Amino acid sequence: MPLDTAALAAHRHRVYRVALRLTGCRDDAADVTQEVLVRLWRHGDRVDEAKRTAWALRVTRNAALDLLRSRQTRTRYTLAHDGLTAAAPADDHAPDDLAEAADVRRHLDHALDGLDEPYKSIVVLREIEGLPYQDIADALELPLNTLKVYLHRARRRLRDALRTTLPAEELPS
Amino acid sequence: MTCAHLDQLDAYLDGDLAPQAARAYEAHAEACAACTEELALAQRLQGALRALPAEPCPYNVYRGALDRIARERQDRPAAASAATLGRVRLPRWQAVGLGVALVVLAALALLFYRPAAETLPGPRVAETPVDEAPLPETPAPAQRPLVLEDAPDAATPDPGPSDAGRPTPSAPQAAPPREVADAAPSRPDPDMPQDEAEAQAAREGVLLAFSLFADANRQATRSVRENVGHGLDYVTDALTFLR
Repeated sequence: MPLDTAALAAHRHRVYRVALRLTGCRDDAADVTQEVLVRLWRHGDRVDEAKRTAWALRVTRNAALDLLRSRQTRTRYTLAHDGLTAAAPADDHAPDDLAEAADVRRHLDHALDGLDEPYKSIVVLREIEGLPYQDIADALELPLNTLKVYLHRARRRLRDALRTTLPAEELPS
Repeated sequence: MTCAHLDQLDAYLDGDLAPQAARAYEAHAEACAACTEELALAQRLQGALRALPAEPCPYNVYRGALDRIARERQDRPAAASAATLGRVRLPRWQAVGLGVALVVLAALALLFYRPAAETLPGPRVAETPVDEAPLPETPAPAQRPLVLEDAPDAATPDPGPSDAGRPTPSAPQAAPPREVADAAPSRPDPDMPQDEAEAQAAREGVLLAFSLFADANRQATRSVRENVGHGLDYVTDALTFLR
């Protein structure tokens, strides 16, 4: 029996966020999200509930990477070009703070976009989504120790990328 | 920037270090410039990544997925049925074999289930020597001149095949040339001998039966691929019809 729609609703935001981070484009993220939700509805009941998040994220990542591969000739929007980084201003901040925060996010997005796979996926799932190591290892089908080594490398690469473009004191604490 | 303790940075950030090891690392980081700088950068980076805006999934995206699911759910009974029938779907060679078997069955049905009154006269005629065949009461077609009965000039020679079928302008429409009449086998020529007319009717009947059977066989094969039960019904119907 296919999964009910309530279970789909529980996954939709995370699937969309990860797809958006990996594709860097809202339209692509929408396509990936719909595809993943339909597959989740079709096959999710055959996946152990405890593993369903990891399964959904694996399908999301694969769909996103497939989409990117199929559109390599197309001009990709970066997150900055897509306007994502300027999408979350807080009302209680001064304009200078908002501009600075947007600038920091642009640097972060640029550094993230410069990571290769699977480092980018690992950083997205661990540092942004805050998923447990085991879920990420399942989603990426990596041994746990390998995942930790990759995460270590990914963090170092991110720090190196930001060190050259953004002084540490400008990063929000 | 080199420090042997930098390898512990991630473990410290993730809380994987034992409490005693974590306190030792913190003490070292306070005294080591490289570790201090790296730890500060790592902590700020971690905070910045977690503070990135979490854009929710737009409702229209979710709605689109639900619409696709609804469409698929509507098609699912048919798809499920096809999946079930896929288990009884025959390979091509079996379908061909089944078709041949059906043809053989039809031939047998024609031979054994045909009522005696409808027996074709063909074999009987063939068994009789031509010389000994009784003359029909009506004159044989070959004994009659191939001219129109009401042609204005009875002595006009046969116009030949090139003109066959082309009515003479003065010829009455009710009496078409023999060739035209032969071209329409469904309407037996009233001048045709009785045996020949029966034989022609029988041939047409056989052709019709085979034509109908071929259609039934095609439908049966197609249906058997989809549903064995329905296919058997078609075969039964075909046999019943031929009987």
